Amino acid sequence: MAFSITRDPIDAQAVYAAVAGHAEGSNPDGAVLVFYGTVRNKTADRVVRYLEYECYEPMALAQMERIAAEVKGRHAISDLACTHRVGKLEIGEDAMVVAVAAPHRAAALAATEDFISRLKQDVPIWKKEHFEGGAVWIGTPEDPQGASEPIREGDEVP
Amino acid sequence: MRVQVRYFAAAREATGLETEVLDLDDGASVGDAWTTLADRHPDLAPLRAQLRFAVGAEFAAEAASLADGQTLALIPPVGGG
Repeated sequence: MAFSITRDPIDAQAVYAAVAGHAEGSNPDGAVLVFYGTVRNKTADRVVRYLEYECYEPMALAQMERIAAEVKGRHAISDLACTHRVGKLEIGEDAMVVAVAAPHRAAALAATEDFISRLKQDVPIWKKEHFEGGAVWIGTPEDPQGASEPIREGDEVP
Repeated sequence: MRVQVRYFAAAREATGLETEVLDLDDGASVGDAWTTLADRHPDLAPLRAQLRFAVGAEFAAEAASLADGQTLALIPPVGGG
């Protein structure tokens, strides 16, 4: 499983190649799914100008590893890789690429959704949306889309 | 003991810092460190309800003990993907 953070445009082919490309005759996988997370031009009624991503890299990579290991325990997949971009991203650019290889597509599809959902909860990457008339850190109480679930005292923090 | 503190996103903007070094009594917890930081940075204190903590690369509870040389990170709501 390969994980990375980059400030440059993501080489999606390399993310794909990290989970595919088995030696001739040894490929166990009937499905390779590559997911691109891209920068959209609108959130609700806000016209987005650009996004700014920031990351705590060593922890982000460690959390991606942990989450991917959990996902692999829940779904019959062979491999998973993810590259996330940070810095300033323009509309239409790729913010994240996830690749999952599995013997069958159902597991690859489910594992991709599972990994991304968990990433959005626990991987320390932050997104500031710059829109016409302002800017907001996504998930904070200032985010018009709504804050993330509040953290309760004594939570078993995953 | 000395602990390095890392700030990101809204916490970085509230303190105007990316990092600072904190001197704490031996045996201090994450919560003790937070009390000191909230005193030091008035704009940081109101963010408490949305913050999580991490020691090294793992999330940590407020009751967790800190050790000399560790890195404590304040983790505002994340938004990757």
